[in-house]
Amino acid sequence: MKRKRGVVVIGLGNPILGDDAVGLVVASELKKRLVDVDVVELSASGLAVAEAMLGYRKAIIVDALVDEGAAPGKIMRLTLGDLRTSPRRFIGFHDIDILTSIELVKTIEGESFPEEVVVFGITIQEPGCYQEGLSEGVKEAVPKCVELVEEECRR
Amino acid sequence: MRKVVTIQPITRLEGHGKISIFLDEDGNVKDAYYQVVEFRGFERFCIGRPVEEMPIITPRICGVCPWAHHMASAKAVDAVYGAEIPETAKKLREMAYNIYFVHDHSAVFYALSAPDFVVGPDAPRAERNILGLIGRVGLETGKRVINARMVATRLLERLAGRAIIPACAVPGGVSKPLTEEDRKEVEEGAKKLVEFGQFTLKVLEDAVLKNQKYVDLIMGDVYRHETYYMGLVDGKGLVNYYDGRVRVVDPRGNVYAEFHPKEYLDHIAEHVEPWTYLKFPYLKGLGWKGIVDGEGSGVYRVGPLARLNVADGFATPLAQEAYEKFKETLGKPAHATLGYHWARVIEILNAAERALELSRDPDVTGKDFRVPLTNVPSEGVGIVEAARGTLIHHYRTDGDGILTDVNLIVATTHNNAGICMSVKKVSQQLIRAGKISDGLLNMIEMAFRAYDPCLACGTHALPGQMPLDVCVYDASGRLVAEIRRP
Repeated sequence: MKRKRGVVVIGLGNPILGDDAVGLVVASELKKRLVDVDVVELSASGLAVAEAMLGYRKAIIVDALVDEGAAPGKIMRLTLGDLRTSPRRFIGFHDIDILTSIELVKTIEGESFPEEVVVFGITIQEPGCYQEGLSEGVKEAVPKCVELVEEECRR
Repeated sequence: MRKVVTIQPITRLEGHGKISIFLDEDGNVKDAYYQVVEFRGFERFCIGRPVEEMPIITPRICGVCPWAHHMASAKAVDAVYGAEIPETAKKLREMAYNIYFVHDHSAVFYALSAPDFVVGPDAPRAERNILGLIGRVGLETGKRVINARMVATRLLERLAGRAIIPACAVPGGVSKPLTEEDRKEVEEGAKKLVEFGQFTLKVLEDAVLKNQKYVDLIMGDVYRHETYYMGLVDGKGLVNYYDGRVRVVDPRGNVYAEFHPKEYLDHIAEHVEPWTYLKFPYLKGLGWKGIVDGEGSGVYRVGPLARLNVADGFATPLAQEAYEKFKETLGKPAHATLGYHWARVIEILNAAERALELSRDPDVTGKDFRVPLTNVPSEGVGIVEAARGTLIHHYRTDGDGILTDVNLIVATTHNNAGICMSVKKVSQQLIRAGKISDGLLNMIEMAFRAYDPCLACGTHALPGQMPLDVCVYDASGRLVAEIRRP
């Protein structure tokens, strides 16, 4: 078995879909701060996300999250187990979903899949329009989320 | 008697993967519509930007087919500047694009199409997925799929900087030449992809074509529509994903029209329905007759099945051999909607073969890979075949190359009427006199999965399964049943 690298942080989002870009914004901040951690900005879903985690001991995903009723800008730390049982819906469709992808890649590439996957979700209002830039509430959550991910990397 | 116009259900139509079925007085299906969310404002987002940014911006429309937008956009910008790109650039673009085709088609086949057949259309939903598929065909197959995708991803990274949002095609050519070392890696990788294509074809043949029940399902009337078809063909009339003329065949297989991309507006018009933002393109010469098939209707379909129907064959030997068998079984044109899956698998093999062929072409390591843009920009059209079908980008700019008008027609929009027809036909079979049979959801899912509708979004997916919501309304517009898959 190949020796695994340390931690990978994967920021997900679409840079031109308003608040959906928040995962990318957090990742881009982290890139400037983290030295020993690989930070990936990814505009992808399903399989591609699961594949990006291969070869690391721990993977941290940062993504926008639609949680009906929650105010925008709330940060939640979730595990894969939480996602499985949660009624919360991360936006997007098509491709196979991330949990199935992870299970698949884990089944096939078991040894090189991370032992730990942590997800930081930042609540947003579901976007309906192409636009650049984050809304105020979501923008305010970015520095806090950056700190939380930094702490998580040290854990 | 007072006539009641019911608008209320109409306003409820927009939604994620929402299907609305309307019954007549006798409880039989009168109309059925399939709807997806469209994120709006893309055109407005682009207006006022320099046109050369488009090949970088448009792949963000959709995280599923970024390569198709990248290529169509680059071709449209070339046309805006009246630039004829060098042979080396053309071949490098096409080589990368064919690798992307293998990458995309294989995910669709193994993750979305194959479970229906290999695990079985009647299997419980929890098993009808790629994990259930691996449970049936063995871990080895799963390994081959992941490995082939990894090979394709690595090659795309080499050629385009990034595998997912590419940055290789630039106005006038490509961003960098290909070194001999990289060429060798592409050749080695493409050989593996050809083997993977052959393997995938065998998976399909063993699991589907050797099972009479599935062959009957594919050939049956439920999923059959006699429509026109549209797709790109090369100078010899063969399938090409990157470049060529647009050919349209009629339901009997005769060539109805063949035109240069820049003439598309002479042939395609768009119908607007009040209940959806998604437009319905149709053939101008025939006119809009509603969401119906047949020789008199302007409805046409695009995508793998359409490409095999419009072209005279494939330019590569293994795909051509597979195509002969396809033609023999399904006829030509093949109207069986589930034939999309088979066509997709043949295209995996063709795209891999074409990438290998191009990797061995001395032109790909040429040094003449980009021309300067010297003409005053004005207007241009770029058309490619996206994995899911014909993709049109049309831009207009002012004299400084600032965008004043943008029109995109994506594959799922071309197929909009086809998808609605398939949903309607399935519903008609499974809803009789107000009684809804079990399995309606499964059968509807199978219908639209053939088209692999792409949902105009660049967002990712956690947990990301497309929710499906089927609403049945009676003749007075009252919601009488709702079946949901979260």
